[in-house]
Amino acid sequence: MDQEKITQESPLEKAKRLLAEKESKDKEKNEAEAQKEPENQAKEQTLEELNSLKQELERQLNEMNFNVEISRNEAHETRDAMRGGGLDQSLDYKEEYSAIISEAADNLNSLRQEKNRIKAELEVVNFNIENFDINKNIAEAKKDVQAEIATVEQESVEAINQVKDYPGSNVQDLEAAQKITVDSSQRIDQIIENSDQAVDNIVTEDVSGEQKVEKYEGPIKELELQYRDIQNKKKPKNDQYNQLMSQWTKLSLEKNSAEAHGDEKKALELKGAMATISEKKEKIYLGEKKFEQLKQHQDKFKELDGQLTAVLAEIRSLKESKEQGEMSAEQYQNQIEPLIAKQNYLYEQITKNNNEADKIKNDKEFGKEEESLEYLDGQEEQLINAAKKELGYDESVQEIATKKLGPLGAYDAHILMLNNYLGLNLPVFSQDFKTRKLNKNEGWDSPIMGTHEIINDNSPEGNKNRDILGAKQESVYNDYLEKTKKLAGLPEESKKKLIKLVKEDNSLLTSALSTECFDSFDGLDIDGAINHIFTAYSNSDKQCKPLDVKNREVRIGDKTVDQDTLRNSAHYHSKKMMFIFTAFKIAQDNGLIG
Amino acid sequence: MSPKKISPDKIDQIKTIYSQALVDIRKIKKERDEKIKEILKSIDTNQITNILKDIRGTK
Repeated sequence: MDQEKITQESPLEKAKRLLAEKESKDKEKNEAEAQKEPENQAKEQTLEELNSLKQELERQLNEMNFNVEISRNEAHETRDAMRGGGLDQSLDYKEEYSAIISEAADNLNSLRQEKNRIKAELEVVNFNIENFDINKNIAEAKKDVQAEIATVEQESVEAINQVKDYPGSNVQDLEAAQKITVDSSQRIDQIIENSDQAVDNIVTEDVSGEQKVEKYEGPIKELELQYRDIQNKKKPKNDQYNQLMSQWTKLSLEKNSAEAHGDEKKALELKGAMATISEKKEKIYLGEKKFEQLKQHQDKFKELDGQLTAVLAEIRSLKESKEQGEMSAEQYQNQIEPLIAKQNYLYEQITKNNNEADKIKNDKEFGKEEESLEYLDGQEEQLINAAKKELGYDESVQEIATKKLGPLGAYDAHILMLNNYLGLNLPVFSQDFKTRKLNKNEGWDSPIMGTHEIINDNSPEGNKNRDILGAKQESVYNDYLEKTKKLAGLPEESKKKLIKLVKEDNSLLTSALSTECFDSFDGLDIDGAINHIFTAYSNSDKQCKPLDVKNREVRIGDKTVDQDTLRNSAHYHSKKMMFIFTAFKIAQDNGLIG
Repeated sequence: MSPKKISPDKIDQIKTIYSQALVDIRKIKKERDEKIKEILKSIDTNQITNILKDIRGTK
């Protein structure tokens, strides 16, 4: 109604007009609400379902926490009872003791894995609840695109049929039409891929921002930061030590090969070179001060040992003279007494000297000097213990790590934590940890040696272990293959993003695995390590399956190798695998891989 | 365990991305239709040429 007519309206007409207007607006509003009703109902229903699923998962998680606690207590009780009865020390029961401990740890591990699975599922449900409206909006926004794609596909089929059925068309025309539709589809696929990636990036920006704050919660987080500080301070010493260790290993392999070929001269030369490197290693390991102290004791031992050899020779000669009647009993007595006294004195001095040297080596404060190489200090021990507590591992595992097995102790913690974070049960290490008792002379490569024992064990138990270990290895290896394939197939943009994320990742695992397994062994820096992520798939056969437990083959690629080579190789390749797993987890956490 | 939340102000950006995708897809569709039409036209042209040839041939 125009302005002129409105001003000419009577009050009654005005009232009627306004009423009609209101009625019409109310009707529109009601219709709109009625239209929305089923939508709201559907939303409420979905949310209700998600919430009830959430409650169920929370209930399962609580139950699982309870079960883990019970299982852990039971494992400890089992261990304590067996130890109380001396089964762990008895030669007759030692193996069974280990097997029972292993079984208890296995049970606990299975429960923890199930717990992790529920936790992950709950996280997804929470994510969906929290982002319900956003997800719906994204789906709505994409709906038109999907409908359009369906139309395009349908029309493409029709277009081909139209050309095919068109009077006078030939095979070339049909091929040309097919080429046009295929080309269109490919271009559309690319558009969709780019759009999805762009949307993913927008979503990931927010998600990764939040994750940085909440990643690695719990008691380990703070210790990790402290641990990283220590590692950074020690890095130059570690690098130097690892370099020497690597050189020593190479020389050792060459020496073994020379010995095997009967080249004694070369073997002797290499042995000399190994001794020089060992001394350098010792110097780093002990620290300058302790090394000098120990050296003084070693020099003193040589001197005392020389004197003792001379005295013993004199005593021997005196005895011979007496036996041949060259001196009287009195003469003999007078001369032998001071020699015996000197011999006893030298024995005493040598024992004292050796005890002092041992004290330097075994001094608990040893290694805590600033300049010395510390593999485990108070904080690291705390870290390891916290990790183990969280994992619920049995006491025997703790013993191994706390016995200061060089870098192995630190590796133990990484591996155990890695298994925990990623829900893995990497067989080479975990199986060995659970079944094997280590002593301090076995050194840093003991877990691999443990696997060798399983390979070489011909008993029925050995066959059984081999089957279990082989199956586990196969499953981890397949998982590894799948993950490397996905990583290798990432679009360039995602690869760049992942490189950035891995470099920025502050977790202990990434830094430890990248520096310790790549820097020290291959001389690769972090970029080299990251490059390995994307090339691992093509190299996977030869690089990462060095130990085929099930088939009892010890090999790298297609070559069968000796135990020393394998020990070094398997040790590092297993860590490379773990690095890939860690990178994959980072990619997954940041939405680069579904 | 707190879920990760996507910020609601991102939704406009996401809508823009998919709208642009829609525009691009329609453009490709249009190009495809034109190319198909070209094929049909060329079939017609060939047909006519052949018919004309036939007619000339019979004369």
